[in-house]
Amino acid sequence: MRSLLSLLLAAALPLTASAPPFPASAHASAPSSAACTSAEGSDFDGDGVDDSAVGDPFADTVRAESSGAVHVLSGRSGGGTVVTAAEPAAGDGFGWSVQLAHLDDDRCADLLVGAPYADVQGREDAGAVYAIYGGGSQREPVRLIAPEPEADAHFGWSVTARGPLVAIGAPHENDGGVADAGAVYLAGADALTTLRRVSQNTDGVTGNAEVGDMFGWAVELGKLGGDAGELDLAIGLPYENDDGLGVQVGEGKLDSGAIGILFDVAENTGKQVSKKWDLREITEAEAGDRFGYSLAYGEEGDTSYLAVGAPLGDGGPVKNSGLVQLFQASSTAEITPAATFHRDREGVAGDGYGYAVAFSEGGGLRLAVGIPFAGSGRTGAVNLITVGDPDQTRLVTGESAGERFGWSVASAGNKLVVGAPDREGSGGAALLGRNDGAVTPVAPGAGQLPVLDGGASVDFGAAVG
Amino acid sequence: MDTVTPRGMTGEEGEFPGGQDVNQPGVGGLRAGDPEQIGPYRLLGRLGEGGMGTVYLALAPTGRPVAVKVVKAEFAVEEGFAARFHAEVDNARRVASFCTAQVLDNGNDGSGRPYMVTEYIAGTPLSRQISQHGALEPGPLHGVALGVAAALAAIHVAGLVHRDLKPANVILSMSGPRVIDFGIARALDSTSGFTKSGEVLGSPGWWAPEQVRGQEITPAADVFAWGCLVAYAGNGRHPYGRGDMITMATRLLNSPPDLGALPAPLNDLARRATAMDPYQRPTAQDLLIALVGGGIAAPSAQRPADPPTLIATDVLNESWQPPPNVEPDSTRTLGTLGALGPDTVPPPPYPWTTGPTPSGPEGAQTTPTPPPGLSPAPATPVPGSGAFTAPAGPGAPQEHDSPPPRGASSGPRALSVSDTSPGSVRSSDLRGRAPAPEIPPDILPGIPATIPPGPPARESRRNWIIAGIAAVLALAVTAVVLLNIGQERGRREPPPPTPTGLTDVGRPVALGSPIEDPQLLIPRSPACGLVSYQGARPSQGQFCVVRWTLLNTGGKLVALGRDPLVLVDDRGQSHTPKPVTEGLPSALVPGERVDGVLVYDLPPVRKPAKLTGQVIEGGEKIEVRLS
Repeated sequence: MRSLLSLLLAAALPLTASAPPFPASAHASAPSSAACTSAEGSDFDGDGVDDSAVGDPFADTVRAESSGAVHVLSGRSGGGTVVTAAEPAAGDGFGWSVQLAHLDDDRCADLLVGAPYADVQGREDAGAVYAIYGGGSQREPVRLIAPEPEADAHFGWSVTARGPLVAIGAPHENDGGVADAGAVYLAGADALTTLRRVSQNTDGVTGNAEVGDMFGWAVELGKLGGDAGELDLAIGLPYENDDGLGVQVGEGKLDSGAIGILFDVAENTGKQVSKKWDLREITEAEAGDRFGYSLAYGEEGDTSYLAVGAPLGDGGPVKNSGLVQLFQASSTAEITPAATFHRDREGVAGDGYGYAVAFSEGGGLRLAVGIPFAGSGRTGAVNLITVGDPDQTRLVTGESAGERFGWSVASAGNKLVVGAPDREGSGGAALLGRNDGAVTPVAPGAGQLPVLDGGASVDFGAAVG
Repeated sequence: MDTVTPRGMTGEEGEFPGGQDVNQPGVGGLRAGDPEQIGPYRLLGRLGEGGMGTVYLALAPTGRPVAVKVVKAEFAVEEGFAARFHAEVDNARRVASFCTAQVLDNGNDGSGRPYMVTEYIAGTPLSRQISQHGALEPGPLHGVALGVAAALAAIHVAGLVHRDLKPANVILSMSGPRVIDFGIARALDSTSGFTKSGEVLGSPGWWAPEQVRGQEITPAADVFAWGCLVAYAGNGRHPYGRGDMITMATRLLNSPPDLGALPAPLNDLARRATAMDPYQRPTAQDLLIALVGGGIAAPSAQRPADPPTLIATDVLNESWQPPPNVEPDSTRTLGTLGALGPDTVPPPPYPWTTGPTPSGPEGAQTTPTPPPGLSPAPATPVPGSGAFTAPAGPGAPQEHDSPPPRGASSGPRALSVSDTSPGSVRSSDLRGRAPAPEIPPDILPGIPATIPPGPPARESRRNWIIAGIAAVLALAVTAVVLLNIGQERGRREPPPPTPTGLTDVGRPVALGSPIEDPQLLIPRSPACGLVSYQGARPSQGQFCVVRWTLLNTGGKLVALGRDPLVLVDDRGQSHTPKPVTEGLPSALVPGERVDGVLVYDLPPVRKPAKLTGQVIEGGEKIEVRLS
């Protein structure tokens, strides 16, 4: 960690789309963090309204081709801020994963950005994660890398943060010589550069590291059992083969997928306490379901939920149309499987139901399920489900053929943000109002959202957070 | 400039492929060592010899006299030369034959030397005409300017650049000026043994500045040569004077040409054509349009790189007046060889030139009767071609079956050759076209003949009306042929969809299942018009660089096919990537991402339409729409 590379934050004011970047600091458009009102929300710019982050990992920046960029969409002004790496390199994939979270003590949200194709210390595509502090913080952005960077590990493929913990997936990292078995790194929000690695070879983690399991493809933190005061780590292994006990290669039901839960993950530094589910243990499973492809965590009252996507699972009667499996836990109950969602007869093989999932909290927990390949020409859609009343569902479809609406979903305060990375080539997203049902399209250069100054958007909406 | 070394320029002219002796009546006898036959062609005599090879007059099995050009053995042995040669000739065969000597055939002779076969054009090279008889009169001069511009338009529309246009390569025949020896210059130019030594193909005095500088050669180089050629023909002297190669090159780079006194509009056109900046020069089509009576746009850098679109009206009403000394009968020369009996009179190049009248103003006073079978031609689409339509502008007269009255407004003969799919040409297409912005598009069809009256013999414009129409038709045929070729190569896939702005740029294209299989992303539109890429230079005209990203987000190791992605241009022509960059990887491991570029060498005016190919080994063929 010779240098914590700073980030450029191009703080673009709503009416000046080409505002010059402020070097090496995380300026946002609001002057102070005093306006940040919530220790939970996603107000990055400190104007009192929750914001959202949209990644464009293939964006050209002014400094490098396809290095990637992230747009922080101001929930109040409709404008935005463009964030790029301070020293972007071609093909970094900056913005592959994004998450607004609270990393420091102020009440403003901060931003985690994965750049899993960044070269690190000469190791190609080892991957990096950037932490950018919001709310006008003068704190230097932090660049996180694996303690022992490994080529093609793709550290930063997935990121999440909750409470005092940050989790980063490196699903293509080798584990004990096993290719692409995958690993997850944990850090305290206040000590980001001290990373702890867990994998299937970690003592106490259920399951064996097998070739191509991709442990860490998806990560989520929440309260899923164990000590009620401690966070648990949920890990998606969509390429885990359902092959029984022991180590196998290429046997069983290939890529049916699994999830693992590491209880009290920060506390159990020696030996982990874990549980693992193959999809078969819950519902009928077959090869290639990709159970664990996406994860989301939400709470409602004392109950906490984990949604797990299996975008090639058999959603009801339609094979390979996708499904989402809900798990639930409470302060008194261990995590158990709950409802299974799918589109029943309306599903179509290859729709990708469950490709992305997110919870929207407050006033009745809702689950948003991305179905990016649904509809003619892969327009895509999002299925909104009220968790407490699963019969209350709503389907929001994309605008245009091929835009893959629902490729990514995330909550942003009282809104949902849905990525449509192939809208008109350069990508787009939509903000779904919780109460009014309004669908507001957003894209760089449209409305008040500034364009990528000196670069070009390519896949805006590939990640949201 | 300092590295410029002329090649094969020992004589002032007379070098193959640009030899002055090619295709003219001065046929010499065969010499000892000459073969009796090349391929199926029976040799009759020598038309010329140069540093590059020999040109023979020969008889095709059909009895047609042809010119057969055989490359010297020393070039033939060079690796890859034959393939390049034939590739070039194949391209040249697509050039419409109007105002050019049509390329008929190509092959390798018994000893493996490549040869090409063209029409035999009987006539006098412009170079000899000028050197022996002095400057052309305004009438023939205009005809030469128009004919050569038409030839260049036909050559350029086929995606070629002549690269060696000079008076020796313009034959004044009874049927009009004809441009010869196009199509293989590039094969020679890309012969590594030549380019390495910094030599410049072409002829001193007829180079464009960018040729001397070793820069990109585009159709604009031919236009420059056209300007010099017109000035030469109109003044009887070269616009850069005489001198050795270095002198000529120095003048070329440092001083404007002395265009002398040329009749309007040739004075202005020649001046524009000889602009130092190739981008400031008009295109051959611009010239053509200006010469048939339209204005010419101020050339500008904003000129859209439209595919050649020829909008011609039948105001092509200048008449071709061969200089008086040009002999009407090509059979005479052949007869002197004793090779042809009276029954083997070669067919005239065009039906309407049967019974050529004696040249000269008197002979040209014949009544302009409509040639049989020809007048309906403009209204009769070439089979399979919806590619040209008469714009149905308000008030546009309908097609009529007889030539328009002399001197009257010329009627709706606006034909548009377009690369768009058959039937998709709309009259509104005329609106945005670059070639003649000064002509309000709506009145284009009915534009009166406003060209400066050619001196005598205005009556006998029949030949040029016909010829103009023929030019349009010929170019239309070319476009249609190209379209058909494109469709064949594209396995009869439908022609590129009409531009709707919907492309796959920025949209990952699934190479199989969108979740399980890799994706190919073309993040940005191809960058075209590049004159070099990492030291390599385009031989067709421009490099188009296509960035790509391959991403395997699935869980399998995926083997990729070996066949490169083919770029199909907006005319349906397929191009394989140049080997200046690494190709796609052979396989993608899970999670792997590979970025790269593909570089394609495209003719100047083309645009990439799509990429096609089978990326995954054994996978389905994908198509990435680029425009």
